[in-house]
Amino acid sequence: MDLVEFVKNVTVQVVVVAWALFFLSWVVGWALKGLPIPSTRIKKTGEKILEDGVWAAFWLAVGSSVFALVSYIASAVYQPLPPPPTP
Amino acid sequence: MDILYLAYYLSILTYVLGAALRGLPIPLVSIKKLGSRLMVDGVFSAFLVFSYKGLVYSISYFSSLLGSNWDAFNAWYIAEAAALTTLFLVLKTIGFIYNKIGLGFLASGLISPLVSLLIDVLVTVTVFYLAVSVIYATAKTLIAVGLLLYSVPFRLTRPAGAVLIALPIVFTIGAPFLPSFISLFSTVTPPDQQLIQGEPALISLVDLVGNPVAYFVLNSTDLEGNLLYTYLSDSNGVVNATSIDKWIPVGPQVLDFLLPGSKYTVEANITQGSKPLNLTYRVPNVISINVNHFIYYNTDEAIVENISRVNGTLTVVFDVLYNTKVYVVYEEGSSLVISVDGGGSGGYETSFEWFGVDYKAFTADLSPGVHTLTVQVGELNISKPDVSEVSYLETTVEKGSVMPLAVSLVSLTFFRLLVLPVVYILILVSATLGLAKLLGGVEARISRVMVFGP
Repeated sequence: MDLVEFVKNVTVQVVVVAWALFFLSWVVGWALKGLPIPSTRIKKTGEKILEDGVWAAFWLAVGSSVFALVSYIASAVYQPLPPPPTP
Repeated sequence: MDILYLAYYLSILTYVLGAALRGLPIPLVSIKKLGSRLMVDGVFSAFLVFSYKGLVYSISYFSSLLGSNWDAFNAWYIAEAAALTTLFLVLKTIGFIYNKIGLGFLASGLISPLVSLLIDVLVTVTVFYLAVSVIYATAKTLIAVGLLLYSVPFRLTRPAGAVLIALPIVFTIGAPFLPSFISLFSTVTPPDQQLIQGEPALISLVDLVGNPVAYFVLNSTDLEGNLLYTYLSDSNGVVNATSIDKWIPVGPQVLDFLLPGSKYTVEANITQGSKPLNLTYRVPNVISINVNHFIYYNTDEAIVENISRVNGTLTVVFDVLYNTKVYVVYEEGSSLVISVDGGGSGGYETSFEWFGVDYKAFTADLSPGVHTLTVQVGELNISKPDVSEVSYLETTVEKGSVMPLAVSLVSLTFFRLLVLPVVYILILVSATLGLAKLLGGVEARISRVMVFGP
């Protein structure tokens, strides 16, 4: 089905963008943290961005594992349907 | 199923979108929250997609658990629709009879609104039946489409998807309980009364040897002598009273079988039985030559020894005990050669008219001993008697007790098959919305707890 392919492609693109955003967050976060301005607010903002970015990267990385887990739990209830794909 | 694959990839897309939003280097709480929500939605909708078979299985599981039976429901609908159609026909016929006897204002003022109410009832029940049948037949597809809509990112079609998932589950399990729901209320309804206590029937008359006696007129009165109905038989000797405007009543009644120049009376107690009722009566003192051509004799004074038909000649041998008369009745214009004991005429002829048909009767005086009556049958003139039939429905309607009964019957039907199903649909719809809310709302929180911890 073309629609399935389309959604798959969009997903792959979004994953690429998400990784890029993570690197951007990483850079921006460290840049803000390392800024030679002794303002705690700016440092905290940088840290927050960094932290969010790391969490996002973590969930992105374990995404396929999450869906595999979901499929496992659902199949424990009843038969599984499609195998978990890797985006 | 492709729909399920699509739903699954949409779930993954939702999850990835959520992750991307979370990774965005913009420290805005609303964006982060949206990201988390998308991730949770993706995980939960993926869970639902994997549970597709479980959802489908849950329908049959809960159905068997609660004992909902679609076969019984189908049978119930067919029976109710047939009963409604019969009632509809009866009312239409009553209206027709009112028009016939000059009470057209009753037909248009009372019968027509009742009939249109009945049509409303029939349409409601039929629409309900068709709708739930379609839901039942397409339950799997509906659930799959519901999952697809449920998985679309940003919760665009999530409520609709949840309703689509809940609808087949609730209706497939719940709809067959409609008859039970209706019967819950049958305790407060008056006892079921039939508008016309009649039965479709086939009534036939046969002669001494079992040949059909044709074109007889059946006149039935009740025990007080009031006319119930007058029907004319067809040329095969059968009164076909199976159509609704020609039913016969059950119970004791006096049946007069009128034949040209003769009458045979039976006191019958007609009971319900097969549909249509098959009633056959034998008239022992008649020998049928053909339609409208008969031989009558007195069973107390003569015994028929033998009857033979050879080449259009009917020969009857009588053993006469006392002086008696034997009659040969035939239509004027028929050519019959009648002889007694092989010789001459031996009798005399008279003419009479019966229901617009001219007849002749040959009367033979017979003394005790054995006599032979020979009838050579030539060209026969067969005419249909001109009888104005009076149907049982007509005599019932004229009594006037039918209208209040019809009103109460239609009202009862309206309550049973329109009000109660609508209430039941509302119950099912509210249950559907409740289940949809559960799928779209509460469990999302459960899944959030599952994924992110409390």
